[in-house]
Amino acid sequence: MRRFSAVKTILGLMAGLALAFLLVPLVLVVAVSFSPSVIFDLPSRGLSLRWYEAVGTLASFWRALRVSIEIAAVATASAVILGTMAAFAVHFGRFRGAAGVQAFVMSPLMLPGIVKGIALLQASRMFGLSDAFLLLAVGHTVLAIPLVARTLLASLASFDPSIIDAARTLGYSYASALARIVVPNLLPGIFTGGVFAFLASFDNYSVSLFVASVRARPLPIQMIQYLEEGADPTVAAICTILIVATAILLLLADRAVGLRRIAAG
Amino acid sequence: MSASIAAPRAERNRASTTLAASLLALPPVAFLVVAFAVPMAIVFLLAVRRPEGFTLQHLVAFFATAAGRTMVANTIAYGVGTGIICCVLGFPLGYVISRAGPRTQVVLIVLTFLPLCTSVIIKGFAITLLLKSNGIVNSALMAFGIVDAPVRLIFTEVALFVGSVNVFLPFAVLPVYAVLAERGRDLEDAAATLGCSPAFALFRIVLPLARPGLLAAFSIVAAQAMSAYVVPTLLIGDRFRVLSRGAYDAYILHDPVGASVAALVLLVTALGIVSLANRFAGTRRAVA
Repeated sequence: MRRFSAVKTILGLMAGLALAFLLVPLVLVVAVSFSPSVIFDLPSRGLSLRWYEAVGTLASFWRALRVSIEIAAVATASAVILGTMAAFAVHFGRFRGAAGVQAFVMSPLMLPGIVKGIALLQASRMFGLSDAFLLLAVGHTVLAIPLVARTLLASLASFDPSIIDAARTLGYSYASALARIVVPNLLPGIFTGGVFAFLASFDNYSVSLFVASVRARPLPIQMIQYLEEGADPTVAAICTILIVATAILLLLADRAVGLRRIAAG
Repeated sequence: MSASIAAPRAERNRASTTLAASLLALPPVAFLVVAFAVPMAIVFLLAVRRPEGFTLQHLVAFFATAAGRTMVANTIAYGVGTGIICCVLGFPLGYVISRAGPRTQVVLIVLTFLPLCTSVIIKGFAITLLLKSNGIVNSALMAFGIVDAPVRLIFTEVALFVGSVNVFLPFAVLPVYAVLAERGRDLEDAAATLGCSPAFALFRIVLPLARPGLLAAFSIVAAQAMSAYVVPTLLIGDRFRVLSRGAYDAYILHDPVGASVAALVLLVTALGIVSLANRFAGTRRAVA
């Protein structure tokens, strides 16, 4: 029989309030997006899809969405390849300075995004690079590499290295053992790292703020502009679409690895 | 092939494969040197260089202005305040998640994760809807007759902290959950068996166990808040200028040196607060 405990009740209440507070913005945005009213209002007099129709004809949104997806795709692919290489090197290499390499690969995570954005901008000016798409892709890859490497190092920690020896005994070369045995076994970790990389790029504004151009303007930068211009509930509809898309990606990641492992790792 | 022949060969294989694996580090390290380390070096050089050598004059000039000092003070107050509030709210949630049954646990983690993966811009926008003068909080306050006229909430410190805690709270919950998930449940049970009150168990067992998690939570939240740009911009604006905003404004005004100085000061401030927190807590655990 459980004893009533004031302390546990208070902790539980605080936890409930904290969770509710976390979710309020999401619920609010979704609710407003279905409101028929022109001002931001909760849908008290019926539901409407008019803001979703408005999204359909909002050219700047579709342009920005395409830029964001293209850049996130390039950055994710590059970060998955480079991050996987880094994690393999640190885990299997055991060379002198492996710890240093690991710290260096992780270091972009520790630095303020605004600082990274300014750094990329200053360097690109110094070297005369002005292609915004390239700069965005490079900047986002820098952010994403540590996310992939971190997820993968966590998966490698529970990886049984004897299957490499088994593969080699069966006649695989080391390279093909890595490519055909180790990589498939780590696919869930690589996939999860990729999801994080994609979300980090898709969501990023602090680097994009400095290197985006009028032609290559990712969605977050476009949305900041909508908000500064004083938006109508179309923005809420866009936000709702993004929330749903994120939830779907997270569910996929959960299927692949299990969120509890990600959260604890 | 007998085992005695296979063994040295496996040994040799392993040495060469270790080398091959080490070489995999080259492409990512080379990329990060070019795309990350060199640009960072350029920023810091811009902040401390003049044509004929090195100088601290840009940094001195920054701290000589009241605006510069205010930005540093605001950034620290903002980061530390957000960090503390997030720890206070994040601890109960992290603890409850760590002690929930397996199914409830997954649901709670997803609910904590979903806001984490939602854009800061979306959440900033939602907080605006909540707090503006004809927003939901004001409508509720007036409907219940608590106030007669709308209270000014948006573009105040209240809005700033409400919004920031909302954005950064998940970063405080997850480290607490991570340290408590694996340990402590049996200790709590043992304490209860020995007649220890839940309050005693909380303060003498759970909180000490959670300390590394809370420290990580504070460091992550404070560091992130100090470098945040969207939340301060949308929720308080120029009334409360922080370094990230200062850096961006300098960039807009075509002042690369000013932007670099603000970026350098921001980085040093953030690292300083995190290392102070580490020293204060008496542990030296890596953050993030």
